[in-house]
Formats: sequence, structure tokens, C-alpha cells
Amino acid sequence: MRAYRILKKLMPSSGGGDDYEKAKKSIRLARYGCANRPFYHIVVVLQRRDCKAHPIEQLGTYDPMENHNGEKLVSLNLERIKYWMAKKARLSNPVAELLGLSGFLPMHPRTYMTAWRNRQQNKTETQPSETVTN
Amino acid sequence: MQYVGKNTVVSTKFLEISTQIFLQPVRYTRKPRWLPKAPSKMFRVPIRPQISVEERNELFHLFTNYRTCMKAIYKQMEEELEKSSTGEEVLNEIIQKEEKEWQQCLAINNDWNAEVASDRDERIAKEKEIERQTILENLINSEEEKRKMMEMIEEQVRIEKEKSRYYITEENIDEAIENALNNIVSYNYAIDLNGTKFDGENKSKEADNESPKLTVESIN
Repeated sequence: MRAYRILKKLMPSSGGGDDYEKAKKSIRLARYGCANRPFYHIVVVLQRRDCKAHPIEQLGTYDPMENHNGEKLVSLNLERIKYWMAKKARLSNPVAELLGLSGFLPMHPRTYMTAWRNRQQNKTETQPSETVTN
Repeated sequence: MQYVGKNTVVSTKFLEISTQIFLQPVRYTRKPRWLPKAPSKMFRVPIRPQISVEERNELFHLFTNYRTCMKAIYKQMEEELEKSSTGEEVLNEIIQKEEKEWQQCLAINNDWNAEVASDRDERIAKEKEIERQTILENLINSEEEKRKMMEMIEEQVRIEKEKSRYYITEENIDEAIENALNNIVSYNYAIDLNGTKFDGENKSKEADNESPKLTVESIN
């Protein structure tokens, strides 16, 4: 059976969670959407806390679903991200990818990897269709 | 909802009529950890992701590169953060700011001091004036009192001087004795409501004679 979370208090999702000076922190995505509609907050949380824990601070948002212009919208508070990175907060992979794509950090290798894999997949998909048309 | 039951195809009629159907909601459940592998999956071998050597090398190269870059960036950010609180320029700026604030505070304090000083001077002047007045009053009062006292004393002296004419001194003591003996005044008389004196016979001598007797008797 799934264990349901018991919400003790209503916390602001924008921050104010526990923060200990020497505890490890990580910058990660926290899912705040609903069913079939993902929406993510980029947050700093204590690394040992779970993904829905009360964040120390919200650093941005990420909407993975394209809008009517075909854009995936990301908002980043770069100043604070810099600050937290200076405090040795670990970056989770998706966040690192987003930051790489935004030009704030060097490109994450996973983006290259997914890109070339997608390219390969497209090739394999298109080749048989071409043979069919031919 | 998804249902697992004996009859997977259920007509609406049957639903209406039936009272007991074995229904079990499957959603929101998981296989507990202690259950064995499902028999249908018993001999399934999961396919491992196949990564070519080229790709692996490429990824290794990319990741090592990325990691070194990130290390440098992290270090840079740390240094920047440290500089933002302990850098020379920042410290100088902070000092200047503090100095400015201090000057402002000083100016405000001086203004207050001047205000308070003027108020205090006024107050002290007033108090001095009042003190001067009271001292003057006291002086006048004391002089008056002195004068009164002197008058009283003089009066007394005058009276005493007047009285001193009748004093008995060494010179006129004989005369006074003579006078007293010559003019014996007896107050041993009775008086009635109209003030008429009743001089009886001189009984004082008898009384004098009687009194020792009485005393002797009383003693015995």
C-alpha cells in the first residue's frame, strides 16, 4: 500500500524550511503540478530530505510542457543559485542540464547524450519509412 | 477504476440485479516487498542498456571535462562570495558608509545638545532669579525679626530699669527692714461679697500657740 504523507502544517513552497550550516544541500526540482500536468519548482533543500520537503528557498520554476508557442518556460534566480553553489549545494542532473542550456554553466554531457540518441532514433525511424516510400 | 473479478464482462442488467460481486480495486496498490517474483516474470531477463565503446569513451571524456569545469566554477563562486563580505573594496565601502552614518548621528546629536543646552540655560536663569528673590525675602524677614527682638529686649530692659528703683540692695537693706517692721500688714481677715473687711482680734498668735500642741499630740 502506498503510504500517504500526513501534512502537519501548510508550508510556503517559496522557502523557509530547515537550514543547517554544515548540512549538505542540493538544488533540485520539486514537482508541484497535478496529474498529467507536471510543473516544477527549482529549490534548495537539505540533501537528506525527500523531494517534497519544505525547501530552504525557491530558486526558480520549470514548466516542462510546451506552451502554444512551443516553448518550455524556465525561470531562474541566478544570483541566489550562485550564492547556494558557493555554499557547496549539489546540483541534481536535471537542474544542471537546465542551467547548462540556459548558458549559466557549461553544457551538461547528458544533454549531448540525449541529443545524439534522439538523432540516432530518428534516423532509425526514418530509414525504414524511406525504404517503404522508395 | 480498474476491477479484477470472476466476471470481467458485466452487463448493466446484472449490475442492477446482483448483490454480491467480487470486486477489488487494484489502483493505488503495490506488490508487497516480501512477495516472490510473479510467475509470469520468473524467467524474464531484463535487457541491459547497450552502450558502444565509442559512446562510452565520448561520455567519459565529456563528463571528466564537465567535472573539471564545474570544480573551477564552484571555486570561483566561493571566492566571489568570500570577497563580497571580506574584500578590500567592500570593506572600504562599509567603513565609508559607517563613517557617513556616524557623522549624521553626530550632527543630530549636536543639534539635540544645542536645543537641550538652550532649554537648560533658560531654566537655570529662572531658577537663579527665584532663588535670589527668596534670599532677599528671607533677609528682609530676618532683619524685621531682629528689629522686633531688639525692641522687645529694650522694652524688657526699660521695665527692669524702672523696677530697679525699688530693689533692695546692701545700702538700703537696713532701711527696708526698718520700714517693714514699722508697717506690719496683716492679711488675716475675712471678706464678704461686698468687699467689706472684717478685722477680727489677732488670732494668729493663738493659732501659732495651738499648732505646736497639735503637732505634739499627733506625734504622740
